Amino acid sequence: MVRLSNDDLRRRAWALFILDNSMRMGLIPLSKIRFHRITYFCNCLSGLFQVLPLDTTVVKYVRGPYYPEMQWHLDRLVGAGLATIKDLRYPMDPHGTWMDANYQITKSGALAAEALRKVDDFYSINKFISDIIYSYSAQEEKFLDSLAIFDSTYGNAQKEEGIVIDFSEAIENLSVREADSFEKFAQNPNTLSPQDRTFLYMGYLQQITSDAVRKVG
Amino acid sequence: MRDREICFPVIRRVIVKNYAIFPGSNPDFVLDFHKSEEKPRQENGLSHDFINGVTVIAGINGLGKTTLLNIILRLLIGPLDRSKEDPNDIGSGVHELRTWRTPRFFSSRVPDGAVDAEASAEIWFGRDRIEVTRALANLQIRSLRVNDQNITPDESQYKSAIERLSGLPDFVDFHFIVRNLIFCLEDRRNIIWTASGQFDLARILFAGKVAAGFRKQLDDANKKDGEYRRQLHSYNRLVSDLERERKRAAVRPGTEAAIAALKVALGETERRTMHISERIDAISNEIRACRDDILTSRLHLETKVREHERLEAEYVALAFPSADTTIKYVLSHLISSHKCAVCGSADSPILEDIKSRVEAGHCPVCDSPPSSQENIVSGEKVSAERVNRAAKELDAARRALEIAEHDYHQLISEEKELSSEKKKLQERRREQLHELHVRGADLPQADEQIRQLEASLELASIKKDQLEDARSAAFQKAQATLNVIREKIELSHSKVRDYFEIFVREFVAEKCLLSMETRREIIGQSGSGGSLQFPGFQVTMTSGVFEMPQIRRGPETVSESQKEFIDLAYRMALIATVSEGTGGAMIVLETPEASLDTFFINSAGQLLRKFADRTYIDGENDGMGNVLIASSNLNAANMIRALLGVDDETTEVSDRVINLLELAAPNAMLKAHPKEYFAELKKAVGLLDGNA
Repeated sequence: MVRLSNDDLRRRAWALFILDNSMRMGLIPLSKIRFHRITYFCNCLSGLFQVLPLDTTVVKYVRGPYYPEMQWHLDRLVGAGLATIKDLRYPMDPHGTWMDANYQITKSGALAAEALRKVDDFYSINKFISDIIYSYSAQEEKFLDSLAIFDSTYGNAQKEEGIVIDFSEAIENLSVREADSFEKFAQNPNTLSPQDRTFLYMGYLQQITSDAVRKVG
Repeated sequence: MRDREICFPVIRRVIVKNYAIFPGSNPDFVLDFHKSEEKPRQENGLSHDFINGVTVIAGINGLGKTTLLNIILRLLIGPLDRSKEDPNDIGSGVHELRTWRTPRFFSSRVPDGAVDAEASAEIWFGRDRIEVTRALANLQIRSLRVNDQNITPDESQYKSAIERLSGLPDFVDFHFIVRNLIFCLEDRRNIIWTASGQFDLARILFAGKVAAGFRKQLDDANKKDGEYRRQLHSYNRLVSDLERERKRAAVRPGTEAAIAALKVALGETERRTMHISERIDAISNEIRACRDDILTSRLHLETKVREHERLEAEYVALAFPSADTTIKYVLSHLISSHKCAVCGSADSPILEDIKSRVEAGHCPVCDSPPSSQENIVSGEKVSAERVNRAAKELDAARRALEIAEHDYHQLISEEKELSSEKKKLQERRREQLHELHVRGADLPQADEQIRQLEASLELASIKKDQLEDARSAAFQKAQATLNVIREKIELSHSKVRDYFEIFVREFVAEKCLLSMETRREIIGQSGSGGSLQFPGFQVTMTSGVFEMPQIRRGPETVSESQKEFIDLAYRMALIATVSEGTGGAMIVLETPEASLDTFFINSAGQLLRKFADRTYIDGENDGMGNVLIASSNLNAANMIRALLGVDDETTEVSDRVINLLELAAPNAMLKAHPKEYFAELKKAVGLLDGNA
């Protein structure tokens, strides 16, 4: 029997928690696009929560953030009966063929997530993913797929398509810097929790997304 | 924002007198553009007024095209070259100028040594004007006027006028801009493909006053690095002298010998540790580049998997019409990605079987051929050809990823081995130091020579540490300035990128983009601790096999013609960005006609005219003019036509040609075939149709 590496185990747990928390926050079913958008935010904003990210790099891609390895773990959840896949389709455009589908956690998946949460390390990971998805899902539905595109790190105009964005150094993680900058609006210093910063940051992203949409008309 | 507006030099008039290569008008080769108007003939030498747009210097080999371009260049930069310059790495030189490397360039070309020859130019910077006349024999300034005022004709006055009117940080930077950005001569200096050259240009153009200080800081850091290295060399020599002496002492029995031997071993451990640290630094850069390749290759593979999977999904849907989405997805994904989502295996024993059944249109359950099937999949419905093509592309993408991953793992394992060796060495060093310390207590008096060497070594060590500190301080200072420069370059990035896209799409059919990046460059030669983070631009481009833009790290990653055109588009983008609203600009180039096919000759000509007319600004001329001077051989008549826009009826070409057949001293080829060459020239400028 093949044993999963620690990295694979963490990835699968993240995938399961993302599906589980999305369901709890009403993002149901969860489209493939949103799964990867949320994964991106979890990686990028993990620094706010002092959680180790899965990936500190992402390719700037015409279709937005995408993690092939996470997709495999999502597929494995489906194969293991912990999630279902629906509305499978293969749209084609000038950039090539793509796969779109909707995912949903199953009852066994929810039970597995519940069991996993009881393990110490996974408890805090689930908590942080839940906080991120809470802030994400609180934004207007019509902007949800675009927030990551306007994210300070991913949307950095100085990074063109095809470039690998590396936010392993704190100075390069513009999203965390932006989220931290809300501190200046707090009445007392150091009173904003990571959850508060994430919430304010997502609100800010919604604002600039909505401005950009309005500009395009 | 830039501190001062930068104005590029634009040559509006050039006159060459008493130079035997350009004796004056030869009536046999005068181009008769306007039969009714007699154009005054040039009795002595060459004189040309450059109007906005493209001007072509047309001639044949050996008539003086390159000489004329060099006269124009030297009128601008005088008899000076950048110190320690490497044309293949233009940013590598020192920030100072030295005497011209080929002082007899003009005099050696004529029998009279060009004693009376002189050249003049009218050089415009926005609304300001410099008129300069230089002796061609030694390039000495004979007369100098700035905005119609006579100025003492010497090089220092010229330099200070240039610095004032161009708005560039200093004359060395002006020289750099002219030589490497404005002039694109036959040595084909790359700017976008050399990290240091690219940075130097961006620094000069976008960083304002900060830029002037930085090169000096960098030179200072290099100088201090040199001093440190020299001291390190002396120090190392003393170390080996001392080791030699200790080895001699080591053959004697007793504590002293043991300590000497220990010290030798310690020196060896430290040297090895330093060597390994340097290799680890180099490997981490390679690992980063390799990691980027893997990430982009994975995405590329993903698109190919999905393409193949879509076709397989059609087959699966036909084979199992009532199966639910999970089954269909798991099956088609297994065939395409080779991974089983049910059990997680990436090595299914029946995969090849299923694949061949799909390809042959056989039943996926019982393997019956289409002829025995009642009602299922046939090759008509799911084209085997399409599947095979997609499978081929998928295999290629998979192989590319495997290669990248293989390289990555090799590097990682090398780094791991080195790190573990380094750790062991550090541990050994600690033990050796401890043992030395313990044994040192029993040390009898060392012999005199060793003591003297130890004393010298101690002094050398102190000096070495001081110089290392000074070097670090110089590097830190340079890095702090670099950070400011980076911020300033970032402000201009989006404009450079947008202009680059406008220009490059005319030259290169693939999608080609510019991104900002940070490059860690080793400074000086010591290699350890001397690196700075430079901002720069990175090219990404699609290709026949990559639909997603891939990072192109060097000129070897694109074709020969793409290399030059991307570089030219980058030059134009820099010039267009800086010259927005500050007046005209100029590019002088020896046309790269050899690497162009007919289609590209026309679009290259169109783009060069577009640049010269400034119609790249929303398709409208903004009222200011650029000058583009291009030399071209008559054997590339199409290039001359394309550059002049002869086939565009609205273009007036009569003032846009410097006809070297007429103005230059005829060589043997021209004397042998005067009619043929003249006809060729007339054809090129539109005075004779193609069949004449």
